[in-house]
Amino acid sequence: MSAKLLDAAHSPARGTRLSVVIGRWLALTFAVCLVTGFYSHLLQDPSTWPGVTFSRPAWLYAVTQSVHIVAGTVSIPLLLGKLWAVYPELLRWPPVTSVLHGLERVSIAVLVSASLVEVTIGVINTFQWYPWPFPFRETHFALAWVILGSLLIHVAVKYPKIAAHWRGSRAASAPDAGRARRRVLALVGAAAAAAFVGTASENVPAVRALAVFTPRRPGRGSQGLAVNRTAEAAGVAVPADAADWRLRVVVGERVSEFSLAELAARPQAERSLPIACVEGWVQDAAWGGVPLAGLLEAAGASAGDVVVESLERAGNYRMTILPERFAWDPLTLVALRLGGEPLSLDHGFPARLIAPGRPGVLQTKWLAELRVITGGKA
Amino acid sequence: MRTTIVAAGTVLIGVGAVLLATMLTVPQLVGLGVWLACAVVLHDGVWVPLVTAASRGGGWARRALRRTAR
Ligand code: HEM
Repeated sequence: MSAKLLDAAHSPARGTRLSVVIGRWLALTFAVCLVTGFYSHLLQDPSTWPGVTFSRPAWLYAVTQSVHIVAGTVSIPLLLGKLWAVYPELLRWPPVTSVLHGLERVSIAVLVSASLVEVTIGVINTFQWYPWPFPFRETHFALAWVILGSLLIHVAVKYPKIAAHWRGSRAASAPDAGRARRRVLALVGAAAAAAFVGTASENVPAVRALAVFTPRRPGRGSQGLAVNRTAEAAGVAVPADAADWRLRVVVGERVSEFSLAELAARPQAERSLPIACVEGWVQDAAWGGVPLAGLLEAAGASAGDVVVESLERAGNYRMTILPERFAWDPLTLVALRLGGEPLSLDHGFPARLIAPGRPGVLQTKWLAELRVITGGKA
Repeated sequence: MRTTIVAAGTVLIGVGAVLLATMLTVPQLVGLGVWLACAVVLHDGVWVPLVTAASRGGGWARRALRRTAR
């Protein structure tokens, strides 16, 4: 049975050399995904390690996250090619020859299943479709650890084979095997190149039409800027004059309130800052409003992290933490205008946060309250 | 050295497992288990056999073309 299957799956292209060639590229794209992914996690969860997230350069997160999406998508053809190269191993008989061999196969099963699920849910998530029974971000994050661990085990176990086949040798393989292997590599390479172009072009205006593997194009939405969560979806309604709206700024015991007119009467600043979505799209926009640092000072603070609350009643991002480094960056605004006009309701009217170097989901819209939580003098 | 890396890898998998166990509810964990199993079954049981059959077909067609060209 196994012999027949093995025979059916036989291809001269398969073998260790092909595994090593594709595996090297896959290790690179996975490593890039791990680094950029963990960086995104640290921004989303500043309580773990706030020292390593940066507000400058202002485009830092735009780069790390779009690289994440590009490298992740390029991983898919590489992963499929890699698994194709080693498929006969799956059919080997007997399946387990020793306890150690059994454990190794378990580690491979973990690596393969976690990797397949990681890239699959990653891509589907960028289409804003969540057809799974578990939370995306937590699962994607935990699987990254599992992938890192099982990948290390895999490389350590296979190290002698990897070293032996690191350089190709013409003599070692039959000429038709070399030809077959190059055909497979050409196919996998073409698919990886297509994945690269189909995602990386999303943020290059001149070639945006090529971004066939991305769902959302920057520039579609009100005021020429993309919107992921509309006011309607968030259940927020603010009348156009925002007469009753106040921005509360809480520093210790002291509560200051600012109406829209009062905010507009304060010193204003104009900033060009990107919205950098976790889904990998980036769009620069011209924001106008009140520098946050000045507003916090007016409310009696001189340092500290800021808890930012939205008018939204529910939602994962109703409340977020703006670490000190971002809150006090002179680029950070309580934005009232976009492109010179008042914010549309979908962009966060009456006021929203815009800070450099953070994911778009954390650029809180429909601001309700800012609360300084550490180091703020009351 | 390799043993150390294998040990470190095992610890990292453990970190992932603990994260999953603390952040997901039991029904969510079961759902994830189903996804992990389905991913392997679909890939190994459906996708690779299809690709293998297609490449066999491609090889056969190439040889047939070469024969008729001659
Ligand atoms: C081996 C491959 C991958 C690894 C190791 C990886 C790892 C990570 C990690 C650690 C995070 C941070 C999660 C958090 O904030 O807790 C992340 C975020 C993200 N990844 Fe991946 N990823 C991979 C592949 C992909 C792919 C293929 C895509 C889609 C094309 C993708 C899309 C995303 C998205 C959209 C986020 C942001 C989630 C959010 O903040 O809501 N990832 N990734």
